Amino acid sequence: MRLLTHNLLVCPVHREALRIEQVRELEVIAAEYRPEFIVRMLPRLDWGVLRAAAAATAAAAEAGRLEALPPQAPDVEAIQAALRDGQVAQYEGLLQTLHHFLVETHVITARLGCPHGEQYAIDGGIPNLLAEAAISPDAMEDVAAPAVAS
Amino acid sequence: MVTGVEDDDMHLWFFRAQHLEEFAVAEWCSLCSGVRRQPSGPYGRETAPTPVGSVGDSDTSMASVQSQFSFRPLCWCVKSGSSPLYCSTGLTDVQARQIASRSILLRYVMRLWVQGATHAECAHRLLARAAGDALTAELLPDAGRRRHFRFVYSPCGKRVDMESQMAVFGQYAPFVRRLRDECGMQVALDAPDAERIGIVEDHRDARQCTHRVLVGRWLASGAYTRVGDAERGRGVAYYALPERPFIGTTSMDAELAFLMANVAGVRAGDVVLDPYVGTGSILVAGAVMGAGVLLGADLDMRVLRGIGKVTHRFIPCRENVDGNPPPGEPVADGTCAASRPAMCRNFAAYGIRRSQWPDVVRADMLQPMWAGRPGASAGWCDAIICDPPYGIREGTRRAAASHKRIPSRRQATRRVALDEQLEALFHLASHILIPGGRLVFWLPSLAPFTADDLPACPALRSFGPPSCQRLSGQLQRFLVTMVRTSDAMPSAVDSRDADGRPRAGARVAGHANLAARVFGVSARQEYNPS
Repeated sequence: MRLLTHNLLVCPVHREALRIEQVRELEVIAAEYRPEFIVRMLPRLDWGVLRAAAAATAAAAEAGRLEALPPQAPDVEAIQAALRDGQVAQYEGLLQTLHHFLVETHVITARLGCPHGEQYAIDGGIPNLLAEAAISPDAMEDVAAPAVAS
Repeated sequence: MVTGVEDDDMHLWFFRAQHLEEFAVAEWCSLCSGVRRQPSGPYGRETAPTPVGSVGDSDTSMASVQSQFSFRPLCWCVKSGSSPLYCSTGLTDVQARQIASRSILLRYVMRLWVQGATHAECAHRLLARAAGDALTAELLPDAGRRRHFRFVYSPCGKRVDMESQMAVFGQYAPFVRRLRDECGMQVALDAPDAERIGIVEDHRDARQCTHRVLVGRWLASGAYTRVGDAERGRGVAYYALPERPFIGTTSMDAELAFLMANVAGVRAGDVVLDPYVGTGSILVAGAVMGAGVLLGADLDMRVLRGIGKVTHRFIPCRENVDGNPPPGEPVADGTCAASRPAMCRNFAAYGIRRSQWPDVVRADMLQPMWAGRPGASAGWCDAIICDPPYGIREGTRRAAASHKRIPSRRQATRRVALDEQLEALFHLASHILIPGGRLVFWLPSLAPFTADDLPACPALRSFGPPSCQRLSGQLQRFLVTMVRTSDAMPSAVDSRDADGRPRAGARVAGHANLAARVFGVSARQEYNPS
């Protein structure tokens, strides 16, 4: 599951955004860089959820990448205008980072946590978002510290 | 014959499969609404041209069909009741080629020059039409660049032997001489860039004699044999189900999947969602049509993972002979098969770019888990394309509570009425589609379709009349296309009372309790409120 997809999911019980937790396996798969696609997606995404997901999946070596994501959502119209005029250099770092997190980062094994306590498993890259399959807080098993492979 | 038909501004469309005519019209209208409008020029006009009306002994009025499609009207006319030929006005040659390059059900498109009752009449009119500079200025604007031409003879399904064909071409000898003398163009059957001149014969039916002859500049053929982008275009047959590594009992036929993607207006970079994804056949079409993000959801984890053989048939391939893909076995592109949804094998087999492989989620349609963005005009999905389960080959089901505390792959499910699924689908579409985004789905029915068969949803309006495909027996299914309006979000549609039963007095829809009616049993109730 890409972080782009994660951004579009909510908890089926409480309809709230899900946190990525207990990341055990990540895969980073290189994909063709399409800045105009990233810019097109930006207004459709929840920036807060995206930053949190990026922080949860960024490996230690990638801490520098996170700094490229500003706390507030970037001005999409300014980027679009820059893209039209070919003056995209100042946004290049931001767009590359977004491309890395949104399109190239796949969560393979992890948990998705609702603020109300439900947890949903991501196994083999497929999140299981059935309310019936939620792991309720009291039945939560002990999970060892996550080992991240990219 | 109605005079004035030989408009400069007329294209002739010939569709491939006559039994899919409704689908062809729907596809054509959908692609038309997507072509770039030229801001100025004679054909970029914003108002509709005066209707030409039906020509000849038409018994089908396309004007009425056209008025039901909610895009800017272009002029349509059908030539006669059984003729497969359609005319359009208001498009440029560039736009016509653009539409043809995507159309699955189109055979070819021509710019119409002249028409007449016989070849002799046509040849005569053609010479008159090509008088003076008109030949190079209007009829063949590329004549200066192209050194060759050839005739394309299309008897509209009738078999004509070579001798008769040569006799037909012979009648156009004066025109050929003018082409040779004035433009220096030679006949060449194999030159790749040859200008093609189409000669079309129209018959009232396949056994009768020629009713009408139409001559024009052949512009482009449809995309059936080269669907996808120009370099990789490999034809619908390349994507046929029997050759796929991973299919199930209800995998969508490749041709219909491409048709659905076209009707949904999928363009490069779009977000496409199939909420009943199954083996991902519809998403394959979306990927070939250039979608940017493909998303799928399904209740059945076994089909997403490609395990088990209960409901789904698998073409044996190395990974799943024993039901389970061996973990860690690298597939062609160097990643682990086990860490991917099973449908990705199809995407890999077709050489579709990794960035276009789908993301899938296991979810229940009746538990909304796609994010709705606040605001009436906001959404994130460009197209929802799906084939909901009808309860005949695949059950219409939702998750049921299980007593087990540990989550299991074998989730208990129970039957729900198709109506409930439809309402959930409409709710989803009205919350996640961007304004102008389309919802395309199949609706089975045992009766002719009427608008009352659909649950009401103010945020969605119908794009055009549904196209009907006959299945076995009385059963038929309709391809329904709806467009998200930019109106405010609807309140919940309340067609049911407190117990969840349909309200008294409501019309019984053609799809109500469908499976029980098809199987001829009363005990099997699709609708089960418990």
